[in-house]
Amino acid sequence: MRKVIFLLFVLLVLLYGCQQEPIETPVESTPTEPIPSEPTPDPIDLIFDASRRITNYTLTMDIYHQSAIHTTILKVTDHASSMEIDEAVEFYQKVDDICILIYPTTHGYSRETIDCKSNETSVFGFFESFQKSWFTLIDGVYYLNIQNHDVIQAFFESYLPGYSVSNVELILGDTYFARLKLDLQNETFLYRMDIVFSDIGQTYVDVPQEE
Amino acid sequence: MKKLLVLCLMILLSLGIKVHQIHASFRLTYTERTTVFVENVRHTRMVASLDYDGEISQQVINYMGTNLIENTDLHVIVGDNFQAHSWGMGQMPVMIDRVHQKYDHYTVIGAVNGDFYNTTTGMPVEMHIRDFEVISEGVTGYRPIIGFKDNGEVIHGRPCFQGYHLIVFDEDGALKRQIPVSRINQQPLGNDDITVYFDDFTNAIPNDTNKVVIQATETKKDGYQTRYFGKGYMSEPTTVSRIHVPAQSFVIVGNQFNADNLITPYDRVVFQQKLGCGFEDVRYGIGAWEYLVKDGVASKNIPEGAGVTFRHPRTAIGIKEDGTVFFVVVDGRNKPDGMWGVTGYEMAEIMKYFDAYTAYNLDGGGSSTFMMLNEEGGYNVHNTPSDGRFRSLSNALFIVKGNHEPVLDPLPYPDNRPQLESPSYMRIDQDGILRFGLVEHGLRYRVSINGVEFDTDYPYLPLNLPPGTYEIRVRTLGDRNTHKHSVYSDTYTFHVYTDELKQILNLFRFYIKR
Repeated sequence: MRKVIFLLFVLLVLLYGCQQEPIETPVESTPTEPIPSEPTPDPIDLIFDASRRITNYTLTMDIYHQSAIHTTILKVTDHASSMEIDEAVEFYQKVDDICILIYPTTHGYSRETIDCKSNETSVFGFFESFQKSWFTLIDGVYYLNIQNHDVIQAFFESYLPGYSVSNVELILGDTYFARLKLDLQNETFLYRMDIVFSDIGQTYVDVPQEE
Repeated sequence: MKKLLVLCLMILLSLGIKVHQIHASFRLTYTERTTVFVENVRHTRMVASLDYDGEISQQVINYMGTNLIENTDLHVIVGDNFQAHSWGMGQMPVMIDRVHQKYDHYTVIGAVNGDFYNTTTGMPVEMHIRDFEVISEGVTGYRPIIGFKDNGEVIHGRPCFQGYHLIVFDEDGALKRQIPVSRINQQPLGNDDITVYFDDFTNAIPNDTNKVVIQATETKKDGYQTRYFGKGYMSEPTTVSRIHVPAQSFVIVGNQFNADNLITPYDRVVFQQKLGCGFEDVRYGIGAWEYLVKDGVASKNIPEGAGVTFRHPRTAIGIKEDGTVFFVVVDGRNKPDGMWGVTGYEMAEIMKYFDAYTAYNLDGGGSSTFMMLNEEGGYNVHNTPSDGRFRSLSNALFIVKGNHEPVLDPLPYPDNRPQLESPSYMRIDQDGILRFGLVEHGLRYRVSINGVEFDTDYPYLPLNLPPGTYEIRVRTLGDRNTHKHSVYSDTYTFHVYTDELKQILNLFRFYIKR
């Protein structure tokens, strides 16, 4: 027994002897000025900025009314645009400041010179005017605040007097707006619009050539 | 013994030969007689005392007749209330309604009841021909038929049966081809043999022959797998597969049948008995029983049946030498009101009284019904049906005003006419007018909107459709003597928008303007 106690004692002495004492070495410190860091841009702001500036894109609009769904495809590029309704496509083209409507007829397509859109009317706001601050984010969906409905309301009301815009929801993609939903309604009818953005920067409008 | 034998022989002879007494006198003395003409159809109503060989009876008689040869817009047609795939019955007002539903080119002027019939099923006893279609070939095999041709001619007697045939008409109703059918519900025996299976054949049809399934719009069977009628349209491509006959269909079977695309989905295929012996071009026909007047002589020897020696309400058809066709209904079973009814012999004398050169007895009793168009456009029943109400009938005869559908010239076989192009560039402009390209040799265009067809002479058709979605197809129709009509174009789906939706689209139209 004595041997065991002795042995334990020796072990304790050895273990204590192995504890390292911290070694303090002198450090030469050099005082430095703080470097001002670049403010990181908010990626959401970037998406809004980029989306406001798009000039080449496709909008696929599903318009729900009662039990029907109507699909219209809008293609926009710098010099031409098209609108596909049902199976018919009509084209708008600007060549040397002359605007042309090209529409299907029974023997192909007809061309007609039309008034170009004036600068005044071209600035009225649709998604190009959206600011991030106008929206509230809930579960990944940006909801347009009531106090910011004016701009988009103005967009619609010249063609749909008496209709109000509500339930505006915006879903963002990685780089651009991905989807916009809104309701147009009066006391009797409701039109629900679901607009999908696609082919941004890659949209091509194949304008029929003159025969 | 000899005397006994002679006596027996005389008794037997007297039993075998029924000698009808030849009556010396017939006199009709009317106390009331009114005659009116409705669209050149004469209606005479008589309240009369009938003296038939000294036997006096009181009668109410209605006569309706017209000359079909002089009045080319008047016709006698046969109508019914048959169901699409079974027989059926209907009261006379229903029958009139059915005629108007089926034929918008006829107006019923007058109507009388028709043939005897099976009161359980409504199947007529004798032949029933409706618009050239032999719906029933009759079951007695001996009763006469009265047939009405487009030229006003009336034919009567027994037709010849030339066997079952498939008769293929193009969509305009022109005859493409008639093909004899050798057997029903059995396989063809040779390479050129054609048979037809109906849906009462419950086994599968073997897979070694061509088969064309006809979705029937009408079928009729006698219930004994003996007599059939069917018509319809090809519902699926020709197949050699082993198939069962779909319900309410019939299947044409033949070794190389329809390899030449004789039958297209547009064609109407009729399966029926082909008639001959002058009955080929009968448009409407009905069974009758039996001669009342023959060669201008009232019959004195009417076969027993239909209680010819008893007084009943009776209906008969008469044909005069000048082509006038008339119907007479005599009321009966109502002595207190002076409607005693007549025997077959008295009816024969009445028909002779009205100048019948030929007359036949039709169904009578409670079936006897006589109706005519009134000034308000409705119909009055002028007799007193003895049941106290309208009886449900199998078929009826109608004098109608209007023009028959024309009979087109048969098409050549094989048919090598070139087929017209389908219209292209279909679109609907902002005024809601459907427009499409003009097709060379096209005379008019048929537009199908959600399956409802409209014809237009021009390559456009103003549409006034309520908001909704419409499937539109167009085909070109040409001069059928030189060209086949085109098939339908591809389907064009067209949405009619609400005004608000149009405005939304106009907004975006403006939005994308450059």
